[in-house]
Amino acid sequence: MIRPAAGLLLGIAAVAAVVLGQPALLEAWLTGFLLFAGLSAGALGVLAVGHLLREDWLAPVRAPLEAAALAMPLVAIMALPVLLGLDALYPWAGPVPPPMPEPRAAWLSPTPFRLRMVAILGLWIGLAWLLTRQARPDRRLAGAVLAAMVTSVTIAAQDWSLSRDPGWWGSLQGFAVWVEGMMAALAAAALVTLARGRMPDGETGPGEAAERGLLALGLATIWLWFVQFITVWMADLPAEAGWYLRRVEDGWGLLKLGVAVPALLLGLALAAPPRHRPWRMAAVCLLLLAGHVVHLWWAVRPDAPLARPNPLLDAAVLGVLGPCWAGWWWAGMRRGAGARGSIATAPDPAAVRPARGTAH
Amino acid sequence: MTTIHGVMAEFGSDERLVAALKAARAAGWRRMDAFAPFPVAEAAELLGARGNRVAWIAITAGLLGAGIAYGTQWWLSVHDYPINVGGRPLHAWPAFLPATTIVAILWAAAASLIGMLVLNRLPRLSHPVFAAPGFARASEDRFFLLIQADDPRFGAAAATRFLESLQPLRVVEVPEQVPTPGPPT
Repeated sequence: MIRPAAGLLLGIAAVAAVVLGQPALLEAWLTGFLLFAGLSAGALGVLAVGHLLREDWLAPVRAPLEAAALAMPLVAIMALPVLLGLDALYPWAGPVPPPMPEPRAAWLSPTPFRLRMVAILGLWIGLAWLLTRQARPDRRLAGAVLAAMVTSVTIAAQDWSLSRDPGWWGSLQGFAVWVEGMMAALAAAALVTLARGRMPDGETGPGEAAERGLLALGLATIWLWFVQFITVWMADLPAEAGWYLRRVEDGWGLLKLGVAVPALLLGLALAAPPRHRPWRMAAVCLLLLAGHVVHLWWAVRPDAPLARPNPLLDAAVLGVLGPCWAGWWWAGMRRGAGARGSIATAPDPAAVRPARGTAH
Repeated sequence: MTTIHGVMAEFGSDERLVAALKAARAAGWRRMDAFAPFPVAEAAELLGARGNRVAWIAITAGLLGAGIAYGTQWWLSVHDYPINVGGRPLHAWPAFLPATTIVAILWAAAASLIGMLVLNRLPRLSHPVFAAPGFARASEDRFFLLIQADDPRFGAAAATRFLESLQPLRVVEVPEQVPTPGPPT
């Protein structure tokens, strides 16, 4: 009952955003869409990695991650205003496209963009369904999902989030966006598991391993974004340096260096000591999530071609998208728990069986 | 006359060892050690063994390594051999960071290993407990609890009596030095 209601409400809001068509509204919508698309795609990535490596830490966070991955159809509804309001969001779709090399201009044009977006969202809905269908997914399936995600998410992140500066182009950028999304998804799932009191204790248990997973993803995130910065800093080309210069002006630099980076570093420092404790892990998750949200905003918003919305409008749009996504996600949590006999508390059969199927 | 290193009891399972440790702590024994074929986390906790000191050694060494790596790059690029690279500042902190990170990790890793060895007084060729009969099974299937002679209230007879009350497989006195056959005096 929650799912149709969330879908309907979001559909109405999406149609309203398209009909109103104000650039500021669409701009705020894009940021919210990227946040929730990143969480769902990140959850799918964490699930694929966990199944592929048969990780113990997956068992306690599996239910919230699966529910987040299964929220993909809602993300597809969320994409509607982006699909139809391209010209207000992407400079290359506007009346005066910036100069680009010919192949890139062909790639970044409205029809191919829309086709890619529909195909990628369809692919993700299918992959999420495939990977959450069985209690013990085949490792080859998890590997195939991971391979499909790496390519599709790289393209999606480049298209949806970074193509607003057509000069900001590379094979690493999209991947960095996805790794950050995986970090955020695992942090959110761990936070939910902690809040429900289902994160196992113990120095060598899955709870400790989940914190190591957060630490690894956080370090990967900070490293991948730093590598981009140092490459641009070394090359010192005007177009690439401009991407960073725009993100220093108007308080953006303060937001990044004063909020996003310290939150991430503090989260990593708190995650580093052994023996996880619930309060400390919760603080790590909150810091990583806060760092992610601010960083996403910092990466997306300064390239807005037409209008930068008032933060209140951002908050209002998030106030619509957030509850819809959360409602859909919650319905998935309950369905998953009912269908598989409370997977959050029952130990993963893979973790209990002595021969873990790693022989082949 | 041989001095005593301690009194050691042998147990058949880790549960028995942990129970014995708890009883010994409750009875007031403080200087103890335990030996088991696999890590027994609870026993380590009861013995007060913590990895904290290694962590602090690693953090200190990592910061020191980072400082030295950054300082070296700064001194080389700014003072010793300044080169203008396309107008970039001589103090090029972004370019210094990767080497700084890597050296910090190297120092922290090396210092944790060395610190762990030093704190455990390793490497060490011999230890008095090796002379206890049947101790070789500490790396197979037996669990040993040693009450050390440096415990403030140690007495060989009292320690033996106490350990025997825990119903171990056997209790032996461990001499400080392995008796070696020498020339008759």
